[in-house]
Amino acid sequence: MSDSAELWQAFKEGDRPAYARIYDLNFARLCHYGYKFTRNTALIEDSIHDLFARMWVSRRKLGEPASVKNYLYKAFRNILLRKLQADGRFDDLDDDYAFRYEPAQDASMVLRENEQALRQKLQFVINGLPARQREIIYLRFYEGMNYEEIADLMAINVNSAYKLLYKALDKLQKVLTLSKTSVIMALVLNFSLLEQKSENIFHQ
Amino acid sequence: MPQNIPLTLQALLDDDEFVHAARQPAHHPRPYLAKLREDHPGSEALINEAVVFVATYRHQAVFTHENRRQAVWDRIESTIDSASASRRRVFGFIRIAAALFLFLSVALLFWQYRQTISVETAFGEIRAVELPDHSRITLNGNSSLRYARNWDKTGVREVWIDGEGLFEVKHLNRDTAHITDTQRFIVHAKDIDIEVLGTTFNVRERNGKTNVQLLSGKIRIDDHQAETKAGLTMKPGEAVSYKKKELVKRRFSADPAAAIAWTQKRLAFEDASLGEIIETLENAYGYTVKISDEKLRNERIEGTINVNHVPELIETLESALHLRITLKQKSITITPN
Repeated sequence: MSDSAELWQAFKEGDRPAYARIYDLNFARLCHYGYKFTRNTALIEDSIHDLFARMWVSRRKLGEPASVKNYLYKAFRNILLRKLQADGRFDDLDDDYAFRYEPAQDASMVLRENEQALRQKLQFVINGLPARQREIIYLRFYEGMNYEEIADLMAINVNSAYKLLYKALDKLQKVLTLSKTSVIMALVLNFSLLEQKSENIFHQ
Repeated sequence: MPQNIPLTLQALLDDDEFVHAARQPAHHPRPYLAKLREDHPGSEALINEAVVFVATYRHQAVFTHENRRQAVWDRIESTIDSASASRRRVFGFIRIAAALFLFLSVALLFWQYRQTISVETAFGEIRAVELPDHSRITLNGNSSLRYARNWDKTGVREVWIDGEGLFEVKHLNRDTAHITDTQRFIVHAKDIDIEVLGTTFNVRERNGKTNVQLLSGKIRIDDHQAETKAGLTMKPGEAVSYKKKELVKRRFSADPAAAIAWTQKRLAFEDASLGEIIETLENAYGYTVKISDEKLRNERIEGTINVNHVPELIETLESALHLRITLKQKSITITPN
């Protein structure tokens, strides 16, 4: 965080390499985050372009965010949602596919039946949730944000963030606790391998 | 998280520290998970379940769009470069516009400051002008008066005259020993300046000659000659004539009012030569006068002429000087009878 704070400071003073570095560090994750809202990749690119262009123009007026990443996510989310709304195709989030859980395709890895079963359950439960609950699950467990950060990003108050996640977890719990403990245990043993692989992909 | 209380999945997933630990790869040391297992001996399965949930959830399809990273960056750079260029252009334009505006404002102020009000009269026209200080000036025909548009209430009052005018200057000074700028009033004629302290006088500036007839009050003439720096102070009834800054005549008039008879549209002369009368006809009334013998101009009429109209004047001249004068529209021909 101190690294990114230094980068941010340099960027605010007009340092182009620092600005380029912030872009490089965040391009992929912003694309991924944007892809959670829409499949329209041109719109995602436009939003990233707008975000960074505006940032540069108004850099002197920008504050010092606690987390540069969260700042970028929030600004990017606003720009993207506005574009989606302007397109007239989305109300706020698209319930059909925004923040759907889509497991990674591991062609190399032959998943055990029970792993497949858990994935399918997660897909079934999570993708059955309203889009905003899916979003909060994503922010909480994929991005690892705390409630304050989630509330800030989604522009809701912290209590609402708690409630929103609570509702989502309640449904998840019902499905997850139905799984037999033995199945879970078997899964855990496999997970050291699985997690290692996924961390290579998701490491932030 | 409090010890020895049965955990729920909900409570675990609500716990920031748990989520943080569960997001770490399995081969990383995860002391928080070990501590949880220790503190809640019966919850081993639940903890594992929650970890598996997080891990499974995080094992998602990723869209990085890596091949577009450079293209999007190039677009951003071209946008911000053209934005700052156009901003420089706009700022440059604004700077030029501001400088131009400032210059024009100053020029306008200066022009307004220098701007004078000019009153001009046609031949035979008499016009009264009231100055901002309520001084009155009666302007004879074919004359002009100029004064500053922004009449300075705190400075010297100044007017410029060309032709003939009767000045009735508002008297502001009570103590002649201490005259402030505000109380001063200066009439600029062609060759001389007349400084006034509240008075009535006639200025007649024609054909290179300036006559001043003081009727009341006190005026001082400044002919801009170094040796007469103190100037010439006139007494009421006194009349002076200047030609090219030289005092050519100084006398007390028997009838000072004759000098201002023109203000009543009357033609009045006192001991005037024919030349002087011709000048009045030409300058104030716009007549063209032809005279067969130039010497006749020096013929003088003793006493006072005081008539209302030009034909009347012509009659008077004919009988007094034995002349034959013909008047045809605006031209007058004079021949000896």
